[in-house]
Amino acid sequence: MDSLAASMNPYNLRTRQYFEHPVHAGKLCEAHTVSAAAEARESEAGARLRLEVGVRGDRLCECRFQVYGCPHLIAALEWLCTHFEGKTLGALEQFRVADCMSLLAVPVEKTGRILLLEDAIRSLSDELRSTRLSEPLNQD
Amino acid sequence: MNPQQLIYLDYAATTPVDPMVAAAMAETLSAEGSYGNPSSNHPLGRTALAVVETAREQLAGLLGARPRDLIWTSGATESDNMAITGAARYRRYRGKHLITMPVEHKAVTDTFAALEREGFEITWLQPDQQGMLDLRQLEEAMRDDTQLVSIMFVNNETGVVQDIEAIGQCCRERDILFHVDAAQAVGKLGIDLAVLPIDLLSLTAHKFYGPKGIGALYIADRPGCQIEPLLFGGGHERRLRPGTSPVHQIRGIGLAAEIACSRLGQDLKHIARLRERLFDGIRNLPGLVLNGREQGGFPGILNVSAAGIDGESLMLALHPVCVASGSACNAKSGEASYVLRALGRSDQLAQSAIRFSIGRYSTEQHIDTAVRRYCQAVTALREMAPEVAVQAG
Repeated sequence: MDSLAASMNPYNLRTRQYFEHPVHAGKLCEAHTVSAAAEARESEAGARLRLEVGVRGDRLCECRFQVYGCPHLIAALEWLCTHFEGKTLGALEQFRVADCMSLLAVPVEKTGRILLLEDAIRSLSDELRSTRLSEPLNQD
Repeated sequence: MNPQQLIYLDYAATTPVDPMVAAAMAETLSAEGSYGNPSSNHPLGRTALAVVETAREQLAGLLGARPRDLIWTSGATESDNMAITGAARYRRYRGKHLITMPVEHKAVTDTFAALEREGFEITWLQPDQQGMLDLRQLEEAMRDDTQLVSIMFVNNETGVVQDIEAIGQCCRERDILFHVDAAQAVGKLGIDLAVLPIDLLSLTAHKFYGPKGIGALYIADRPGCQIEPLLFGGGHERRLRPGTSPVHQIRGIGLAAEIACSRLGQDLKHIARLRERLFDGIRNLPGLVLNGREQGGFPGILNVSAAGIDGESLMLALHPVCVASGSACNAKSGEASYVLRALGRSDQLAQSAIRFSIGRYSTEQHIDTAVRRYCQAVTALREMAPEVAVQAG
């Protein structure tokens, strides 16, 4: 009975953990020579998010987010920041919404909301690439 | 999670069964209990029938009604369907105009919508921003061919209490039947059907510490107040509701009614005191909007919205406090409450609404934890939100 009840919880354990401990929520803590921010929104009154990254060399040394949205979106952003902090921009560009949805057991009807992450990553990537084209690399 | 670790503040969705009620029901279900069919003409049948009729007297005592005017049903949803559809069809030769409000429970609004498809004409009266019905608006809507008005006693989402006596009086003056969905009122507020001008009243046991799956419909014994049955298959319950009577359930509702009757004032005072403690604890949060009336509503329900907060995240962040986001019946759809939208709340405010509902077993510690969790959750979610979203409320 208990396991059946647990299976009816709309949030899996991982989602609850990321939701309850959003240590990457907020703005960038440190001043970075190279940083970028991107926003994405669902609709006028719907979910919206802001993703910020600080870059050192080719590494994302700090990832932060702000969000107005459901627990799955908050958990997805926390997972994204935890997972990609310290990794390269190229790795971030390999982000797949399907992996995130599977990991957090996001219901299919929320696919559009989780796709906001993809939009934000694309904007971030574009911004960072244009920054790098106009400025010399390896500033840190 | 162990239920002992949870803080239950969702009494408007359902109440725990009173231990005395549960014990009496278990006894009825036992081999030594009243397991006979109340329709059977032998000692076990007659014993079961005595249980059924005793319970009818107990419920009648709570309502100030005559026992014979109560019909057992499976709950308020069935009672609403029976009353509205049954009365509308019975009186259709007189006219096909019916009146209700869009803030009623789905058991009522969906029944009216079905009647609309059958060819009845429905007037949906809009409440004011607090959820109250304007009597002048009701009088203006009444026509020569109006047959039924259905208005709920206590709104299940906001706790707003309608002026049932005045509405009933308007109906009586025009020979229009008046149905009241009293699911949230029975056993919690004093109701005297010997005085109140109500023709049909729906109720359910599980809102006043009785079991789920049993309710009743009150049908006033006065000319023209009759309904067509929706089910066929026997002469039970004045030929209006066939089916073998669930004796254990009926014993449960009867005893729950008797207990409620004896504790009505005590429960109400307890609930009112805790509601004040809860509202005092959260009312100073910026951007908080009360959905309902500050005074004069049913104190067991406190519904608040928070600007710039996602309701689903707020619900999860409140754990282990069990509350509802609007109506529990609507919670799984994920849509903003239609009741709060009808009161003029924006999608965002309606979506952020949390309904706290307090009951007999709520304690000061429960309320203090709920206050702390709610304030922490609102603050944390606001801090996490992009600035524009906070202003969007």
